Amino acid sequence: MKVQVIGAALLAAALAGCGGKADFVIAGTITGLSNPNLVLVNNGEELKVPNGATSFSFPNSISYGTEYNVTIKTQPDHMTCSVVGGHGSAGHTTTIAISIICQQNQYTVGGSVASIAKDGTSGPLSADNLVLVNGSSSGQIAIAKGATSFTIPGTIPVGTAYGLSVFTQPAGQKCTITNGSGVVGDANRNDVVVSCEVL
Amino acid sequence: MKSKYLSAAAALLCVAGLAACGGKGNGSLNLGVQVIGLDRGGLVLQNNGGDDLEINTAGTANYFFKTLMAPDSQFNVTIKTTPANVTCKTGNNTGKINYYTYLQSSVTCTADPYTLGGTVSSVVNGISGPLSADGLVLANGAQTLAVANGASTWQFATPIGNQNVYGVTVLTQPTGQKCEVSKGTGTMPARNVVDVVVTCMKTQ
Repeated sequence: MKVQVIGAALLAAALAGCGGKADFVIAGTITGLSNPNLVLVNNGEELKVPNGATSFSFPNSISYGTEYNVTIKTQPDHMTCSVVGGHGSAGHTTTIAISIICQQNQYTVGGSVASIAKDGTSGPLSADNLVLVNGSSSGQIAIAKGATSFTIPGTIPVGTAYGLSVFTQPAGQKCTITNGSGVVGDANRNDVVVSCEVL
Repeated sequence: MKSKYLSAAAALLCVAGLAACGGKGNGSLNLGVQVIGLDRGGLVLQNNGGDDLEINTAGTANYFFKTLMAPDSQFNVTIKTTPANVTCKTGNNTGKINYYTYLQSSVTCTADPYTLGGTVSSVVNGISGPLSADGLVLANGAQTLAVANGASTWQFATPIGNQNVYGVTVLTQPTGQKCEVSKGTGTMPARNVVDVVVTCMKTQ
């Protein structure tokens, strides 16, 4: 009897020695999370992650050999997160180290451009050399003769301000901008109006 | 006979040794420098006080000195000439050249920054005075600035590198007034900009 108990204890100790440990915490790091409402899921178990978190761990640990598969159930507001190393088998590495990387969503800003002739008719931009700027943020934005629309090169993160102004007036025309300023929301914006009057 | 061979061998060794010592033009390694953030030409770099490397292209790129260097010889990259109104600094600029170090040196340049600002006034009943309403927010692209009621001057917090463009716009109009910007667009000079004019009128 005594021998059996000791033998069982020894066996358990030996197994623990082999496996390293019996339970594994599903955990990892988070970079760039600056908005609320991120929800992770592992095999049906959900984990709400608060704004500003830099790490996470699921409350229930899993045993050696159990598969885990962490994915994004709900993206945080205004952001897109991706999971690196979210799938595996517990014990394959000493600890489970998942990495979640979040980035603010980005959208384009642009609008229409038109030239108003002396007789009042409106048409595509009819002069060369129109250059807009978005403050010091986007360099020079050249708009070619014949254009009817334009987009600021690149994308702008949600929550970032923009403000367009005319850097160089086109030859023989005077352009004014309406709806040229704002803060980027959760969609592309296409409502800037550049209207150039033929002088 | 034997001694003749020996002396010939010694002469050869001597030549090889001299080449290793002098290193001028007899090496095999091309010393490079990574130039980061340069926005104009006029940068001149040197290695060991010579071998001028002139860079006249804007942008981030790798450049190489003309003279090849012998393996394990000492390099020391320095800045001979910095473009006007730019500040450049060297990084990892000394060492002994080999496969791992031939491109370890860097030169990082930034255009000297200057502040962007101007005046603000409210015109009420034909009389001009300091801003007399709450809520004015100006923008220079992504950069924003809340201008307080009572202000007569303003300045964006973060300075801007010279030769960058700028364009000041009204992001939020103050309560009950409508502001317009004049002289709000231009290219940053190598001094502070203080002459952007924001004029606000009472809305009816």
